[in-house]
Amino acid sequence: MYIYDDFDETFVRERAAQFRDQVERRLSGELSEEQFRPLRLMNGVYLQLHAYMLRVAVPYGTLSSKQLRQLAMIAKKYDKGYGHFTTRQNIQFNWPKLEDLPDILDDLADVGMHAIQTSGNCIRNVTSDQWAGVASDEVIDPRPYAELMRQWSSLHPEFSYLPRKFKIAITGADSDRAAIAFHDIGLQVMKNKTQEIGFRVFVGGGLGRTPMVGKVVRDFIGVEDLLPYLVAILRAYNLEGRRDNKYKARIKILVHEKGIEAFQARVEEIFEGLDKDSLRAQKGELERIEAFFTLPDYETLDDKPASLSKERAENSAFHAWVMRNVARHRQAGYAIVNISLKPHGGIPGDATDEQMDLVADLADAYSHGEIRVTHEQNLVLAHVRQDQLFELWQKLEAAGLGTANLGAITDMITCPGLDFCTLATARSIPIAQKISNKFSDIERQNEIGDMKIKISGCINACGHHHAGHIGILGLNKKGEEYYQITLGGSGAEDAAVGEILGPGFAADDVAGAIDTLVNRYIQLRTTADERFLDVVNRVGLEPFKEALYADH
Amino acid sequence: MAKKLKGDQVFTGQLLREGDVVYLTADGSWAPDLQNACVATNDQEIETLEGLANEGVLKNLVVDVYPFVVVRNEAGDLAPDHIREKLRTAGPSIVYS
Repeated sequence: MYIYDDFDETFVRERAAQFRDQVERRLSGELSEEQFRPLRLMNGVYLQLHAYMLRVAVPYGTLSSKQLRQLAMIAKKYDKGYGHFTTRQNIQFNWPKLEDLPDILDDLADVGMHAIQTSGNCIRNVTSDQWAGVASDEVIDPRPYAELMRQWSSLHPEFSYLPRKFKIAITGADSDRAAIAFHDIGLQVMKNKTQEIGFRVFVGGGLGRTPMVGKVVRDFIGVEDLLPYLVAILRAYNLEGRRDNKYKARIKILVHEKGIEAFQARVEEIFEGLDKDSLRAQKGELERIEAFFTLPDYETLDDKPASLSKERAENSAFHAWVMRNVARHRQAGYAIVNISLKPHGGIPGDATDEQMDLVADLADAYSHGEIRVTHEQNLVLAHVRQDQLFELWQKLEAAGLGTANLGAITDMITCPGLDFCTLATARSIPIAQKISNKFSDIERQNEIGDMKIKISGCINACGHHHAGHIGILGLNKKGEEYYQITLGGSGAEDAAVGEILGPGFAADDVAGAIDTLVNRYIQLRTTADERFLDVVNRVGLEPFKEALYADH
Repeated sequence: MAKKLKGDQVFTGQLLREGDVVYLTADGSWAPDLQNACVATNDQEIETLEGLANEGVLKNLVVDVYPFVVVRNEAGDLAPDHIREKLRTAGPSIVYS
């Protein structure tokens, strides 16, 4: 993984020192709250419902064991012993005190981390496929390009005051695990017919109150022109994006109002006029970055070793975990281990300091000291020997990290909701917990198969509800929480925005409604392999509406 | 002037240094317990409390100050009227650490 050079190190240290001075001036009264708020937001510090919240950037979701241990230390020393992993592959601490935040930023800087650009109208942390570099279906490893964009976008002078926040996601596989179509810019690294590496560029995707699936603005742009092309898109947006109404200020609105053809023409016009040489990465820079992302020295191992088959045959819980949580690796004899942060009845995305310390230790022992964070709020160990899976699973299981539910109905994306968030209109976490408890039986989950439920506590859609096979949106009517259900969304390569089924449900009735939908799906599917989403796409909403609202 | 709300009101904010939720008391100090809050029952009292609340802001004790509606529950205790303030007063409704 990428390691900071002297420039990065100095830059982050300086920012931490500046923030210490800003906090001191705020506490002494030299700065008013109005003056201080933008400064704290530039360093990822929000004021939430009960306390300050610090959002720490995890670039493209990649952490070293040393960094994760430091996050665990911060959770224990300054917070309440846990952290919350987010849909942008970041981590949030929900209870820091303002007076401690300068020390926390120093502690983060000690391990090459910070909270810059995790808030504000700038280019946010670039996200990526959590299986980057090791996925069996990957064409090109996207991480070097993600790192190049991290460096390029950090404090970019032209793009620090955009009309609104700007999110970029990148994948190098055909299966989209990074939800690129729901980002302001989505990039798919690929090879063209002449085997040249480049990018398919999507623009104008997003969730929130106006969900949009991104549109292709360029079928192929070569590696050399990636940064100039991004400049062209961002410049078009910066110049023409609306600043009069924050709800209409994202690039998706500009693309929608202008039309993709007109927007594309504008981008191309700007692109053609650029002094591209001055905007391209310096010669050799990409190669320098790529050297940080070479794969570990894997051993030559048998694929599917006999010991693994025996352990699976002898232990059904282990077998169930391998079936759900272990993915195919590009290297024979190795596996990708997905650690679920969705224990049954737990809080999606939360990990205690002890769990973080354990995962860091396990990463050192079994996965070359590296951890990935997923946008679905789970963790990944990307380089595990298949003959060590059983040993690893036993240690995860003992720490409450062995839940065998990846991609199953209880593996829900859930925003913090009204339990923590000032913007929320309803709670999300208790709804997830009720659904999780209702479907906690592993056999039942496996019978249902792949299912993505996503829950947001307001229309800002941090829980990606529009992209859920089943989406749940928490709203508030006259002080009472109620929940709207959508069907048919997808955040994958078949990206789609879910459709509202009908009238909403009271909090206590949501899990029952999901049960009704699931039962109807099982009646409707033609084979056990036909996923919930496939059935919705085949039969439409009506059979599900009938099942849900027949008695109303 | 605080926006017009229907009902008795208290002022809340968060401590600048710690971020903790607090409520304005009759002497202008800020208390963590809603039961210690001073209740305004008419426009004049609201205005007086608002003045005290703003002093807390100017002294850099509290941030994000605003009023919300309270009612008396069966036990006679002050209770927020809205789900948001109920959660803010009681803390998250889940076991979170």
